[in-house]
Amino acid sequence: MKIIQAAKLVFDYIRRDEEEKIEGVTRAIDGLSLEIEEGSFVAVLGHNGSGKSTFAKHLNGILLPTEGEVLVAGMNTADEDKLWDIRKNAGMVFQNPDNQIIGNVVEEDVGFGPENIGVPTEQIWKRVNDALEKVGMTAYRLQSPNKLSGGQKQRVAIAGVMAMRPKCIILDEPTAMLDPNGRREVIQTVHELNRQEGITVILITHYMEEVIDADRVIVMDDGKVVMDGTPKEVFSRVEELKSYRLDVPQVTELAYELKKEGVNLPDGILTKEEFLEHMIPMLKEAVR
Amino acid sequence: MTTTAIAIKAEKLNYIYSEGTAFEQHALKDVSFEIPKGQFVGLIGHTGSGKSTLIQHLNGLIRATSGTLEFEGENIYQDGYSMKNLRSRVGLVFQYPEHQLFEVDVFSDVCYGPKNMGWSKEEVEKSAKEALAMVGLDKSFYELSPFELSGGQKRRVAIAGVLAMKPHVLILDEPTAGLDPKGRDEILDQVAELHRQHNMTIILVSHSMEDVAKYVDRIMVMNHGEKVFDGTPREVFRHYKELETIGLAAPQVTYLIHGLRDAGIPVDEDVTTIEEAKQEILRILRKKNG
Repeated sequence: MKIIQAAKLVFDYIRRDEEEKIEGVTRAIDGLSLEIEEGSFVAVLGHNGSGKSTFAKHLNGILLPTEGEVLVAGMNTADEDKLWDIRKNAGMVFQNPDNQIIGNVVEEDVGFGPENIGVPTEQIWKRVNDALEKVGMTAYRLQSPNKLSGGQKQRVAIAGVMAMRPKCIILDEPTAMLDPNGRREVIQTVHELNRQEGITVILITHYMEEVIDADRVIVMDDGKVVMDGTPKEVFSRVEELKSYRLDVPQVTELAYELKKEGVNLPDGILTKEEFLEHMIPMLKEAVR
Repeated sequence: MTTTAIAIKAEKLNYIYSEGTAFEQHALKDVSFEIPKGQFVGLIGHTGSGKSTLIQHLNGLIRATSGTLEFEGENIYQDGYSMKNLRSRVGLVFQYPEHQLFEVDVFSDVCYGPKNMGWSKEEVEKSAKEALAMVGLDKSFYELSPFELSGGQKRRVAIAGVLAMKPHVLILDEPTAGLDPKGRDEILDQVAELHRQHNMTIILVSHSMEDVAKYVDRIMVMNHGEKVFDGTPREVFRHYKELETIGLAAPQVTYLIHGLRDAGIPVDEDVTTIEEAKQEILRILRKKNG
């Protein structure tokens, strides 16, 4: 089943002067068509200004298409009556953990969403318990969010989304403000949610290392999809990625550079293990 | 005058937040170091390790609980020392500095700092023009609203705002957070250029070990308010196992090289950049034929 279907999506940011006259139009999404399979882990890459965040904001109706349409679990985001259902199905986590936590106590924060949509009290607690368990934050439930690390705050934000029992989580650069530990925590958490709960994950990121375990990588440029495939397929095309202002993980880059020097390595090496598996026999041969 | 060759000298700096209360926290513990003029220093450590507290000491935003801090040979805690002067000499670029842009156009924004220093209009404008040129923004940007710029451009305007005060030391707190890979490279290349061309002393706070390895001369590692490592990237990343226990890591290439060594291949273990790794592997591969 397709959880997300975007067809010929166009979105224009329109700037107006004080008299509401149009001053300028910036086309952020330009005829994008895309389908995402339920239960998959999809990473979205693209430089600043490529349209990825604008696209993400269409997935739970924060923005509505200028042209074309977006269906979330079969519901059209332009259908106002469906907006709450859409937001229950597709939850968003943003970059700055401090902007999305509102409760004074972790468990209150996680319960905020379900309470807002009128879930009965005892069920709210059940949802809060479940959600905290799933992100590994149960031990912190009575703490103040202020005392948490960045990675922990992001996990609380993810728990807040999970408490809405969504089918799909969209994370817009959730690790941009975190240190390496925090980044690892958050990425691990979303992978677990994807594997164990079957939640569809759409991860927008600038960190290439976070992408290698995704099922699918989508690269955006100028409001369009320009590359779409498995991490291996996409990261095999090093020069093309660089032309879109992106990068590849260090191991991929090193393998690519060695290959250019005539070393016999396959395209799209993504992990240390793969690299060593190919490199060790060659080097052993050389030092014999 | 040998003293002037040192930009910053810290001796047994201690800082205790909320001293004497239940929230007392020892944020810096006996931190000592000397930074020579013109050095490019990377400062790393996980969130809460004390790096931000430390850099705020360096331009006088926080006063140490004990210890001394000298800037270009002068004790900044002595009576009558001009903190205002210090703050123009030690430029601090905060995280997400573009959130602090507020003027109507790029040029006015960059003029704001030097104007506040009480410089003449000519001096202010000259300095702003130079600063914008230093970050690679030409005249066509001067009259744009900061809101019309891309993320990377905004950040460069914010950095120019600090450069316009003609600092001798530039401190950048995670200048690449939230930028795309190309944007990251552009900012860091720009900073490296400032270092090279103007011999500016640079302190770069970063979470990216790859960036730090590629650009800096020296790395200082903070953990729980203490300076735990201090040396060249090669020296520091040799301790990658200890770095992991304090929530950090070495660049990915370092792990590749250690993987090769563990398999019995005699590669130089001090490799910290892709270029070095490439040369090292090619050297061994070509031994056979050469």
